[in-house]
Amino acid sequence: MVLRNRLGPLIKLAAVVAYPYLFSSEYFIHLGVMAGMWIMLATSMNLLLGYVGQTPLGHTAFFGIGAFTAGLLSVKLRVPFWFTLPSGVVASVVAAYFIGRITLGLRGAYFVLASLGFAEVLKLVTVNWVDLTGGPMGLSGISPPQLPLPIAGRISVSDRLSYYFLMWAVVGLVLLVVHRLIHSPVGRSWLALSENEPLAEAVGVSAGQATMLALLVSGGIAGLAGVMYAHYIGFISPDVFYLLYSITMLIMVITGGKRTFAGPIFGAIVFTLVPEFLRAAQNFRMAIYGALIIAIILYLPDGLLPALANLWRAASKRRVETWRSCKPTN
Amino acid sequence: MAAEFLQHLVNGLIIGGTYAMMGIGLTLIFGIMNVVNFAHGEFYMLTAFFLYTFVKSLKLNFLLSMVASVVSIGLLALAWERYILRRLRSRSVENGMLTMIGLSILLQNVTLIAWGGAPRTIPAPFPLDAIPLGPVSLTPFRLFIALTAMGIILGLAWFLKKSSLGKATRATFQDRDTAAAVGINVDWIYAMTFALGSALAGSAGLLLAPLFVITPTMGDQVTAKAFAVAITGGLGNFPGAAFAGLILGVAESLGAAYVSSGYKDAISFLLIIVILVIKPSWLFANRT
Repeated sequence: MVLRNRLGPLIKLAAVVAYPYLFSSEYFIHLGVMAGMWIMLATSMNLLLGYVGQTPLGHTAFFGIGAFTAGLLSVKLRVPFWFTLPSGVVASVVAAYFIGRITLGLRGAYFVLASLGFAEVLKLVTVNWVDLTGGPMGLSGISPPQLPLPIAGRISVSDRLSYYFLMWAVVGLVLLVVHRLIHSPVGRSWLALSENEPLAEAVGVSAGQATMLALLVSGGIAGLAGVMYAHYIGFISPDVFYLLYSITMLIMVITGGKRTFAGPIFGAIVFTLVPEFLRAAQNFRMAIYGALIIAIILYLPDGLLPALANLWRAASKRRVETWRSCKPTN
Repeated sequence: MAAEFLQHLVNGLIIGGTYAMMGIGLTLIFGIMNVVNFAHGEFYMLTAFFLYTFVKSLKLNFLLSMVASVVSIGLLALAWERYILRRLRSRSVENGMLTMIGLSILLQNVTLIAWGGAPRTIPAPFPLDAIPLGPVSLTPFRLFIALTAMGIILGLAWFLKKSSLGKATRATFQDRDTAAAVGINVDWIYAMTFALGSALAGSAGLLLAPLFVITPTMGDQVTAKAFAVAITGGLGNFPGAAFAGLILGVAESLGAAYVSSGYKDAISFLLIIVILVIKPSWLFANRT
């Protein structure tokens, strides 16, 4: 058991490193990059949906703010990557602070709609402010990251393989931070709040501070994913504020299992691949996607990972019982 | 100038009447069933496409087609409530909401496959000459929209207030368990509420379809507007939604005329945010 725990992270690291060499076509490496982005987005969504217990239907607002901040700085001011990255994160954290000040007092459907309202208003601003954002035509020419490295000098991360490693380095860092955070007293206070708010407050958890912190971290991570997306694709449009992005994050978290660390990662990988498989269905793709969402909520409300874990537990219990019943009873 | 303003105001009130219908449908479904209906706009959209098929392909009489479309959407809503929503009733609000989002994506894309994505028009069989009414003038079809919307809303208000089924609905709204204890068939009330709410969205779709083109994605904006209306009036509040619908209609009409037509669709979302920020006292006071 101890050995397995020590080896676990190494095996995962090896899998991430080996993937682009095992599946070395441009297409599979592209999927690997996108999976990394979706893992960040789903993890960030999970902090709110799973740990704080709010449903941010406009969560893609932070993704879009990160993407547009990085994109605009890169295209209009020719600012390098090492500056657009923190700017994008800071912009989405600041936005999260203001949105949080307004919406965190709201509960249930009211929070959902206020959150959605912000994303939609941002979408309409980017559509209509053509001089700045290019409107529906979008913003193109976002430069690939240039990284000044100590020994190798300045390298340009412009091919897919190097972007894959850059993306996963960022994903690794984000996951480390989130893992630390949810196993810290802060993470436990989030859990306490989502389970029983009055009780949590009674034992000294400040609901306002704890949920605000979750929103800031969550918004920052989504903004970071937006920056990584903008520099990877090189083009952004008001589409980044579409409801479908937020829905995809929600479905990833629910499918994987909310309020778990591994669930959203698993769900993000599954739902990066599912639309690709559905390409075979052509016109029926989105209709099947809709039906899939309904089926998941009906049959797997707690997510795939917990369901699989239950199956595994039931199976091993049965094994133990069969073993016991085989023993001679005397 | 004044005549022009008055004309925008009246046009806004007429469109607002249909917004009120959408908002009332949504507010009833939320208030009674606690379902956040993100597929509301798709029921609106689908009813318009039914009308298109009845009028254009089957060449039925226009008014008869309207009735047939609403009945079809009501039956569809009944089936959805019976086989999906009923199973989710004991679960948290998020489950119902996400299922409705799934339905919204499903219906939009099924419509896209069945009817195609090209915008379509449904001509209304009314003369196009405007009727002058004092300083403003209205086409006969707009007059028809205004009268139908008013008739439906007032009729529904009377039904909820006076009829025994309406009273049972209000009782269920106030306290589901007590209503069930005094012999009200709560399952039946839920089914009827969902069918009625969806039919209201559908009727709004029928009234507006001949004014604009119809497309499979037009429901998105409708859902947004219905939420803006329901929130502004206070979720679960019938007269509030009726009043808020008129306000949104006028705000959009004046906003498009005097501010910017590009931001017309932003008005509903801004309204949602502003109302939720200032949290007026009627917002959480639940009543029908």
